[in-house]
Amino acid sequence: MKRKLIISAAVITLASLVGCGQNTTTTNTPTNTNQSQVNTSTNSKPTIAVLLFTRKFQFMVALDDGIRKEASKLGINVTVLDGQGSSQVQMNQIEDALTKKVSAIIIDPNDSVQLLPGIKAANNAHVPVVTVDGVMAKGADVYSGVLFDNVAGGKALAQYIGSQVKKGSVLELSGRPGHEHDQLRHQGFQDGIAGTGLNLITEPTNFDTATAQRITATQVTAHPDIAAIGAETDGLNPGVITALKQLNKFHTVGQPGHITIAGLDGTPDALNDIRQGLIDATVQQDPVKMGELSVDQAFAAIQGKPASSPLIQLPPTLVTKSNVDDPSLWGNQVK
Amino acid sequence: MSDRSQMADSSIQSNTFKNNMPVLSKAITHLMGRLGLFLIIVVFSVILSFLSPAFLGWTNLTNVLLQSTILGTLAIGETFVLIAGGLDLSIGGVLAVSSAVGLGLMDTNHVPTIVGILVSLLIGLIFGAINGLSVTKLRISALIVTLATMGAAQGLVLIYTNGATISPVPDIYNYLGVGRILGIPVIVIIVLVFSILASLILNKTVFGRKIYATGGNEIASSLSGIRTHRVIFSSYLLSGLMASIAGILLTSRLESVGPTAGDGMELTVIAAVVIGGTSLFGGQGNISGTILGVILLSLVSNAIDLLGVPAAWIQLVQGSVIFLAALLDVYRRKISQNMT
Repeated sequence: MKRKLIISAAVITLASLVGCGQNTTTTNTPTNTNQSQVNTSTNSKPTIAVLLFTRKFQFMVALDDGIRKEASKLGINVTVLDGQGSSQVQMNQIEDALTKKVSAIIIDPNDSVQLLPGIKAANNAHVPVVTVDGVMAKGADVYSGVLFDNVAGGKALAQYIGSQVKKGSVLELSGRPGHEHDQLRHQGFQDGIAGTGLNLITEPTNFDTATAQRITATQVTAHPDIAAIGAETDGLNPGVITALKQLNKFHTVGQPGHITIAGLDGTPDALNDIRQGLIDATVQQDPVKMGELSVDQAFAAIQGKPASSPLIQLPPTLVTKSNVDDPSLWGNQVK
Repeated sequence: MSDRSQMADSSIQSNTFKNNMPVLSKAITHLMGRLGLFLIIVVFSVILSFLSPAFLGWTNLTNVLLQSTILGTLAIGETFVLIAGGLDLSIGGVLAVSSAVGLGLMDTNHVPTIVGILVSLLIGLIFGAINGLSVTKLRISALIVTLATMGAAQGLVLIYTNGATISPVPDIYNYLGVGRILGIPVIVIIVLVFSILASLILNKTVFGRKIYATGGNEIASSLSGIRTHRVIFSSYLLSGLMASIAGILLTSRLESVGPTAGDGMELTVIAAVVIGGTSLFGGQGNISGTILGVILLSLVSNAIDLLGVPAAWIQLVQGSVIFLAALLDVYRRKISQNMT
């Protein structure tokens, strides 16, 4: 009886592992291991390994979509893997990709320093590396990097708030101390608020909605003069809205007593919130476009072309009620 | 370990003059044990009220209570598992998967609210059953089983939500989230009722006695006719159920459920339960202590928010305060034991 249970559990585990393997691998053309993959003059399709540091945000899923779309347009196979927010996992994934002899690697690095040995290994194997949504520290060769201008994004968010609110305090909900994107956004936000005369209160949220709710409730209670709240990722917006409801301080956009709420990312949820007047604005960073550009870069690298630019930075776009229905916004493109 | 051997010593001692000990003094000692953590909370609050003028306001105090509700609900379930000698790390993941699937069914498949809620609770029970069966029948260590189900649950959330946040919530959730009765948030009253029920089950029912006995000494309990596997299984079932209820409450509070829901909550919950006097080795603990532990940890977060602790320092401060609270609690228990 017990043995049967153990065996069946083992079988189920194995089956699910096999299932997972099939899901993550989209390639079905076996790569020719005898041939150098950098040379694509043969008729076998090149394969790119895409290593995302996490897939836990809608933003990352959209990035994944952008990459897949562009790859299928160019006739490239892609294998997308989830790094589960861990440099060590990403390290293993780089090694596995090199063993499989992929033509190029696109990586959204969990950390710009910790992954250097992996990038060096790719350099030694002559596999070009393109970073997306982040950069690597000096010490290894990266073909090019495609990323959002996070400083400009944070600044645009703060400047929008400065244009709406003339006095009082601003609550800035940041992400996690030590997180690179977050530090850049915070830096931009500080720049944008400087000189407005507004008092800045910054609190980290670990990118967690429930934490954002707790902090908003506590800070708005302690500082009744908070006139605007800026969230450095749109996932925090529901926490802000419900915290204000809890304090009876939530009023939709345009009503007296409304506290300005603005986010960053431009997710479909944020666009809906703007339409309904729950929040005022969001600063878009376009993951679909970013994904497409990174595949273009990787493709150029495989063809042996020199990089057009070592760093391609996408500018932020402010989204308010006036342009929320623009079909070119990524939040309107994904479901 | 040493703590446990002291417990054993003191229980032998107290047995020797048990007959002489008046019931009243035993009750006072018992109360001291409980009051200890309460006193720590009072002292902490007094200090905090001097440091931040906003602290003692009614709004801030209800904020702290509201912030305690989700942790409290999870902690009640965890208390049962720990007293029965087990460990449940899967609660955060179970919270997320049960609430995401429940709300997802209501929003995208338009099932009636009650069906969505029942599915949420059922998912919690299923995870509890898997944990319980694996620990009792397959004899896998609780740490490994619940670590595995935690990962599985979080994975299911990612697959189901695809990284997106699910909203809106039905009216009943809205009511749970912001409703008040006589100025007291409904959700606080609900968790209070859960606490009282859980406390009654542990202290006044045969099942409760069996949980303590099983956690205290599984072999002896089994020999004396308690079906210990059934008791342990039930504790995991209860923990899964409470995790899914916590999921419904969190969804009500956030009017949505996102892929990061419940992340890392399990360790905070276990810290609160252990600070509240429940033994990690089983056989000891109570609900009132657990609730005080939860309130203490919520006060710590509140203090960090109010005092504007610099971001990089928060985790260090949090860790130190938990350590200090645990240390004070051990010291206090020693005193109350010496007094017997």
